[in-house]
Amino acid sequence: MDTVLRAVGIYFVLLLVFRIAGNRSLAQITMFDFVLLLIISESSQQGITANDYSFTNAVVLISTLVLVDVLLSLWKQRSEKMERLLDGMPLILVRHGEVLQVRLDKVRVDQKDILEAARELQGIERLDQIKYAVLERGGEITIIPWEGSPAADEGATAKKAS
Amino acid sequence: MPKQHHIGDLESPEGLRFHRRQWSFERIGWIALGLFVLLALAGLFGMGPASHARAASADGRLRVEYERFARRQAPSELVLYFSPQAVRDGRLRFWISRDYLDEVGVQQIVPQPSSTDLGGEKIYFDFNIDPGSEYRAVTFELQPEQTSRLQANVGLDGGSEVRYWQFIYP
Repeated sequence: MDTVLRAVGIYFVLLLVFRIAGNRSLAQITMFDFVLLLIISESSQQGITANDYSFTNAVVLISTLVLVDVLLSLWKQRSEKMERLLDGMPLILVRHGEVLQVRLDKVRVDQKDILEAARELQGIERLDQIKYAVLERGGEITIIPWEGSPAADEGATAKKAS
Repeated sequence: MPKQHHIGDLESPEGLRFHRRQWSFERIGWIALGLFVLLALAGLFGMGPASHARAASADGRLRVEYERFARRQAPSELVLYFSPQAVRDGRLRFWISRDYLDEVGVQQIVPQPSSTDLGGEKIYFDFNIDPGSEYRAVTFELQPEQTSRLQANVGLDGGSEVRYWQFIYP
């Protein structure tokens, strides 16, 4: 019985902590993020298995975690509000070429991060080639470039990176 | 500002309200995490100044040091110190309430008592002790099994007793 309670407890604690950290916190998966993730998983594992390393306990634990996850996903599907609460919402960072700096500050993203995503996803070199940048719910940044030849013809409204 | 373009409903006023709430939630959360860690450093969850506690009997012959906050299945210590007056005829005899001992998970007693007896609500421990000995302390190594608030009573045989409580976190 304890195992079930501890598993549910840890599930919600992790959910809360990662909502507090913001959806961008571990999405960058640098080397160090990866190590941090391992340490966090190790710590929570010890918290829920306690001293019981039995097969039964592991099965109970896994079943509980998966069940909670399925139940929450069912709830999310029925209620948009719940989905927003648990998963957050996408946020536009660059709108029609205009960098929304206040938002960048709030979500702790800077223009370098946007450019990095742009290079990675679209082979874009400069900020003025970006039409839209969106911080997605999973913490990654997606980029929509200007159509056709970038910047020059349409991008008069775009702000320069420097 | 150029004319507003929307990607789906990403820019709905409701969405922006949500983000603003999310940002304040994050900031409140950071403060809460900070406070939580400070409390942990202070020892509210064990092993710190707020947790380390002492208590003494009215006649001063028995003094105990214990962790006010212990954690389930984590080691903890109870140390009893005795004044020279507590020793009678080269023997030291004290008791601990059975309720407490049942819950607190005694792993080891250092040094080992020469005998124990299970008298009803109290469990008695006997030690032979050299009258000239400077060292009159007994350590109980504990590992509580259950989350609860424990009430402990410890006393010298025929002397006054010490009461304290201990909280076991999950």
